[in-house]
Amino acid sequence: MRYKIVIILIALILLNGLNNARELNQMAIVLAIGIDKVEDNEFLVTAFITNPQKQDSGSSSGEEKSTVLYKSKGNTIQNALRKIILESPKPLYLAHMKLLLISEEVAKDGLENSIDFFIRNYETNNGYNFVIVKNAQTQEVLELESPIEDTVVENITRSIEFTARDLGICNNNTLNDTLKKVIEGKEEVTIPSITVKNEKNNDNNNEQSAQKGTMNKESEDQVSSDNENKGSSSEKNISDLKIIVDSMAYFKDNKLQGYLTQQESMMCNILNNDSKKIILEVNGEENFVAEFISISSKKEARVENGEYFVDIEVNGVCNITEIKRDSESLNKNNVEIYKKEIEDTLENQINEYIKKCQNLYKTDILGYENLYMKKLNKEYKSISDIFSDEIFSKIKSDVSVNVKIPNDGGIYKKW
Amino acid sequence: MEENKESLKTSEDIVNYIKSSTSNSTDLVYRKVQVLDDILYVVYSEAMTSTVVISDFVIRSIKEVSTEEEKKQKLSTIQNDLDLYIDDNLELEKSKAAKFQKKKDNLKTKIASENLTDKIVNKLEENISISKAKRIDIVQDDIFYYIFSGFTCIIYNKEILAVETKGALDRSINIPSVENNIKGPKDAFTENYQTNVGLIRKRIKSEKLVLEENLIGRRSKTKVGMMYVSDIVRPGIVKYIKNKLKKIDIDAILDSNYIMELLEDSNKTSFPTMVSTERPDLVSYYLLQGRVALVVENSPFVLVLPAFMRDFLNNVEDNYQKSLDITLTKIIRYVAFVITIFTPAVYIALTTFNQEAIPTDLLVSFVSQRKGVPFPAFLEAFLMILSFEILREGDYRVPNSSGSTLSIVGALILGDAAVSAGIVSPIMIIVIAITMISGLMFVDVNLLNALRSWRIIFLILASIAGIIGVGVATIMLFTKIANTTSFTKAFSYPISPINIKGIIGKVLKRENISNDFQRESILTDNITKYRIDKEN
Repeated sequence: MRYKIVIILIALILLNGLNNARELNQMAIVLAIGIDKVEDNEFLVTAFITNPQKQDSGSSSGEEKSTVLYKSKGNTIQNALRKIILESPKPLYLAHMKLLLISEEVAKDGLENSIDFFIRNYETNNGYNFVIVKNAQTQEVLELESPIEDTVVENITRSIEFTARDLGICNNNTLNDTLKKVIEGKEEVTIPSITVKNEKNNDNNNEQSAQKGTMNKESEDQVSSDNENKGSSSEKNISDLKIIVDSMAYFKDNKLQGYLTQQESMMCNILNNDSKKIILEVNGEENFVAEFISISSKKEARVENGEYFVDIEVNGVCNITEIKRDSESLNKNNVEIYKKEIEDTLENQINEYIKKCQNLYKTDILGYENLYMKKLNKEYKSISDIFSDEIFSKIKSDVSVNVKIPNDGGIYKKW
Repeated sequence: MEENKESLKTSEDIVNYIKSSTSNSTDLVYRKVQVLDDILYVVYSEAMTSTVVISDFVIRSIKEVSTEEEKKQKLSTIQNDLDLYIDDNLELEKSKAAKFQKKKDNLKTKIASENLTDKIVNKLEENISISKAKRIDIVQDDIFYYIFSGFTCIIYNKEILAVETKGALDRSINIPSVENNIKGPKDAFTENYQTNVGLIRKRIKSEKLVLEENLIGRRSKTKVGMMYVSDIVRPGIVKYIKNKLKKIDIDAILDSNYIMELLEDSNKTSFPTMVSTERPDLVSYYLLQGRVALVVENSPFVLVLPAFMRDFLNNVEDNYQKSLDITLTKIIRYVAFVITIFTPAVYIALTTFNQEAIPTDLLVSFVSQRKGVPFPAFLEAFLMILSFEILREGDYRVPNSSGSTLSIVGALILGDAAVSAGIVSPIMIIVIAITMISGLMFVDVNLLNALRSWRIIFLILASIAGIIGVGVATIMLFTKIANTTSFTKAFSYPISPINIKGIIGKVLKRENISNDFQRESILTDNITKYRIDKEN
């Protein structure tokens, strides 16, 4: 028995033991990493580190900051991160990252360059949000302070989580979900974006970016012009700046192309099954608001007479939450009408979105290529070379929307 | 000595033999009583006997018998004189003489057949007003066992009569001091063997409850009573235990734990393989399942065997409460069992090796608490466990009056001050506290000690190899439990010889008193309850 115990202990020590032992107070917990681009094609990596305070000695230690930023430059992310050790008294610990921010310039250069480190590093679990910072440097974002949450990182992740859940204009996908698409290479990625809003100059920066969402064609030009404005924005008072979640950024060949509008983001998330709840405003014969409790979509590919089709079936359950007063029909029997209106509106919007993707954005964020490859592999093999150039824009989409309205609100209830 | 015993002919010889053997121990009292022309000795140990009983019953009875005999003897001398007188003178009254002749013959034959000594001792045995009296033989029986068991020996020539005159050396029946309960019977075993047997018999008033007695210990001569219900228990286990008890050769049995250790010598496990309880209701409960109880003299703890793991985790008190909610109680106990072994090890493993498994907010909180603590987490945990064990051991030994001092020192100095001095982190106090409190749920000291050693094993392996170490330790623990047997029965029953019905019925739920008509086949062949086997 003693012999066995000795064997076990020796084996444990040799195979694993004490190798990666690390006391809690000997590591710097990195909550977020921001990647910017600076001159000479170098990366500027900003590590956002918590600096937990000892709780019972709060009065004596005065006001220490609870978070610390370390920045360093390098040709590669690994190089830059390693240089941080020169500055930081504790080695960085990446397993608890919650957020990875990259700036527009980095995204435009291609995702592979910047996030390859996170694919290969075994310490990060990649189960965190991956966000593009629009119109600003990531280091600026990480320098901000959160009005409600403890840290700005918490602020961003919560905002994204609840926006994705309740509004559907961004998704709460983790880096892993994005990486899957990047590595497979068949489906273009869409990534949530955040932007910095100046409260005092409301009409200045922010409206521009909102407009820019609609005018996607010019987005590239605008991005560059915003970068020129960057100098002025950094002069503003930090407490006036707020982070807001913006619409989704779309990519082509893993390079940032531009941003969808909010409505398109919503449709994108419906088709990718990334959001469960959306709010749909219907402005037809009836003016009302429908809140979807659940929504899901199915895509089927088919080929008929040399033409390529994708059947899209969207099923949803919604409540009518608000009806404009000028509509005459406060009638329970009109549920069918409402239903039809909702279905039509949603169908139109989806069709519009698909058309834009095919013709205007020319990027396969719909995942059609992936769909054909998986569902109709034989046909796909013959057209794989020309799919993105020729076939994609010609695919016809057949959208059908089914909506259920189980409740009509409390208006007919008489207590 | 044995040869010497043969040569002891008179009471003086015997008394001298006792005196020399005991080196004139002063608690032995030798009292002379005049019977007829002879001297009768009354020998007893002052410490073990009740002097009132001796003077009231023994000596008075002896006096009465002696005066009676004296009268009779006088009568017979008169008779003899009368005989002579008849022979010489009264030939006329032949019819009368014939009557006397008959009587005289009778008397003569009687006197001839019976030795006088024998007669008197017999008389004493018949007349003495004490229930337990026994003729013993100086050669065959051990006179000292009787004397030091509280018997009074009446020595008359070569005959010895032992009369029980035990004094009250035992405490009365108290409430259980270790196995506390809220509901249910509140009597507990005492050091008195007879009381303990009685407390069990009181609950099972059946002729099938058998008591077999053994004297174990060369010097202590301790009574060890084996109790079982003859038509439920498997004869094999009775035989097995009987053989084992017979083989015991030891100087003294001072507590039932001696028996426990001598019986379970083949098991090299820290888990107890016998239930040691001070509650007669629990013993009766086990006896009716087909187990065997060992009542050891001078020990308030009765042993029950075989025992399973579940017996230590459960409490018979569950049966005295409403059944529905007991499942939750039981689950809490099992959870506590897991917590008390695993918590410190898992904490160490997570905080020193696998920090990624801790939620971020919790990790940040851990880090902030560990700030400024100079020791590695393992040492910190070890220090806390050590100081708790010192406190616990101290709490057991300290007189009740200074118990509060101990708790103040423990709570304030070791808890609060250690944290503010920065020696340990507050979270470690929480971890150790929940560990130890969970451990206190189990009453059996042997189990507690086993848990303690396993806790340390887990801690060491966790500090070497993190979660993998905890996994290895878990495998070791399971192997050990599965490997343990209690008197040929698997300790891990009903999980290891799997019995789904047993797991659901007895481990998760409590026994269904109104509906359960079956005993468990692992313990008995007589499965059906309420049936009395006619053959046994």
